[in-house]
Amino acid sequence: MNKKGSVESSSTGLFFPRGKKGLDYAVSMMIVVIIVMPILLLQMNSKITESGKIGDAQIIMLRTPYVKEDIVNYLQKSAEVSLAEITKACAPGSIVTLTKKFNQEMDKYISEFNAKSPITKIPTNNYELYIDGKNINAIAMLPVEKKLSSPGTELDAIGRMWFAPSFTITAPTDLSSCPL
Amino acid sequence: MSSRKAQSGITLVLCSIVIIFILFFFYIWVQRIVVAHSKTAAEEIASQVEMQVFFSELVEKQGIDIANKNTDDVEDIIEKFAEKYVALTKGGYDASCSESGIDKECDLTIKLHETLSTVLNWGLAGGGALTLATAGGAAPVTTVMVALKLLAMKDILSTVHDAYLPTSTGKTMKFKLTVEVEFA
Repeated sequence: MNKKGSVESSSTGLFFPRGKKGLDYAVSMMIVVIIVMPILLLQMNSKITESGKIGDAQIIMLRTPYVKEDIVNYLQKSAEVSLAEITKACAPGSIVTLTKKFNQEMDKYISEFNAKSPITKIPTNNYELYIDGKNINAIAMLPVEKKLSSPGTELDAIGRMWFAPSFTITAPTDLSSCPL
Repeated sequence: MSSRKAQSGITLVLCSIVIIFILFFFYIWVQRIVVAHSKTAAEEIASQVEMQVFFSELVEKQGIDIANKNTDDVEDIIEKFAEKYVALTKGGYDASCSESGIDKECDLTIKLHETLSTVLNWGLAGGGALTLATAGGAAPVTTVMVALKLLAMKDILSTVHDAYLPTSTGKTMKFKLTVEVEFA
């Protein structure tokens, strides 16, 4: 026993203290651990079950290719709907080329899309054509920029992507002789 | 003096054992919570993506008809497409559409004629295998079934999708589809 009356103090340090002070320390640590653990667990549980946290970014990322496809699908369907008008450029005596006519017709739909879509905009006069028999391959020159977000939360985007909205449509007749 | 030392030593050892036990049980508890939540998150991600695939296929295959036909026809198109895509042996499909100007907004309600216990067994098994053990062997559980379970149990209230579609008159319509699942 030393002069202050305490049990011989420890020389072993933090983890296995000996003596009264060390014992008090160990018991108080145990009490702290007992109190802190449930608090930590509650904290973690509330964070982990909070909606809009885990998985949201993954959902947006995994949905992105399909959202992109929806936009390409819009352009492809626009071209299909306009196909009769577009192929008039192949008629004898036509003064416009197929590419010019194609872009004119597509721009009507693209302008409509851009007017309605609040964030995503599609470039106009954007296509070069490559004809392969009955197939018209529309090659986009400029990409479309799309914000990565959940529907209706475009302002909380987690990122952006760019993609070329190229597509192919099939005409009822062979267009190989049509001037581009 | 030596008995007091021994008493202190025993108390210290007991304290250490209690702390080790608390930490061990805390670890097990946390692990169980994280695993359970990961499974739910994985199912939710799979469900949301699956319903997006459903919607994208719908607009790709039926987009022109949806854009150009009236709401009654569009309801019929959506119901028939859902029936083929979801392919439930016991299920009903009910679509209702409304028009706002040129835009169309539709609600698709899928009605499950299965029991609660059957639906609860639809899930992502360990390792991601989509199979359900039955007495007659392993029955396939598709991702769309997992999506239906989450929607039916209201873990996800509904899924909302929208896309733009061209009309034959040169206009652009916004098509919005909300999918819900109910027990019949």
